[in-house]
Amino acid sequence: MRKTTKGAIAIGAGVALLLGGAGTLAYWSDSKPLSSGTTITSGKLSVATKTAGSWAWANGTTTPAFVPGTSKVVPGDSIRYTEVFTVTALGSRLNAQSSFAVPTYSGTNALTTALGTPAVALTAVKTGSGTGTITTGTNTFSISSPTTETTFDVTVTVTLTFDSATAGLSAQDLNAVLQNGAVTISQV
Amino acid sequence: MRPGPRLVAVAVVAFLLSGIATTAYAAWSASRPVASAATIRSGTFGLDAAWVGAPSYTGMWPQDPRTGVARLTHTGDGRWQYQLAVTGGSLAGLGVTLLESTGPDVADCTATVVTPGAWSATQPTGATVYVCVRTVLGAGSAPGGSAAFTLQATARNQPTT
Repeated sequence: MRKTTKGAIAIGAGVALLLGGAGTLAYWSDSKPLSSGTTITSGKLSVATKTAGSWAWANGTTTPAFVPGTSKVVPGDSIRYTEVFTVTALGSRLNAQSSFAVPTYSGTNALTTALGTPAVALTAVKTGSGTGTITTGTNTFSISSPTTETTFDVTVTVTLTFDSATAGLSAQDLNAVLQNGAVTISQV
Repeated sequence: MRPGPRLVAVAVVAFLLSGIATTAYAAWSASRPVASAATIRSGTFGLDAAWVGAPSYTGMWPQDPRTGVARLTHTGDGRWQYQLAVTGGSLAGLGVTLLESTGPDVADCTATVVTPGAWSATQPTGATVYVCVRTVLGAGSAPGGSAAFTLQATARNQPTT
């Protein structure tokens, strides 16, 4: 037999062994999808303005309208800022707590002294049919278990009263600029 | 060369102090500003007081009434009240009576007495009021005398509304 013929037979035998060996080395195997089609959805926690903030006289009659930067306050006047926010919460195990930063003045003068620290009030009520519950405290509230989207109306008021005991002609023709007031809802 | 234990410890501390570690402990929080950037302005307050015309109190005789009209004008902001006081009057028997008036003329004087030292009703911003000042010499006043009195007007502000 010629060498080339012998070589061809040897190669053919080797290929046959490899093919046969592949089949011989296989094991049973099965596979099932585990997470296919599973959607992970994040919850929600937000605060947005529902009714834009506005100023008004807080004592006496409400007319003429109080316009910040234009209307001029005098001792005995009281003015109030009111804004309504919508807080939206969603999360199977979400808990959230509110906090409120009382506005401060950007500077100090006789007027800021006469106006004193702003008096703030915060009330929160649940609206709609969400499953979340709300617990209110003094100017605070907390939200728990909003497994379905739950909304809350949060009404914030900031009241300034010009001390009626301001004597003589002090604190006239001055400006007081408010800053840094904020309502915050945080996951806890 | 393998890192020594000290190098590994430094690396762990650095990781814990990094922003990655901070982010891992963050929670949702949403915030909205309240009443920020609002400017509150205070007003001013003033009172102008003057006689309407030039009342004559010369050449008076007993039971001869003379009447002058004083004008009070508020300047500035807010509402206001006024209070009048009469001081002086060194001549015995000189009587000074304050009366409300509806206008700047003597003919506008009413019979309603303005009580010295009592605060008036609240007046609107910038209002002008008139007060009649009626003087009468008493029956026993001696001739040739003179007297001086001062009408002091004081105003105070009231809330704007």
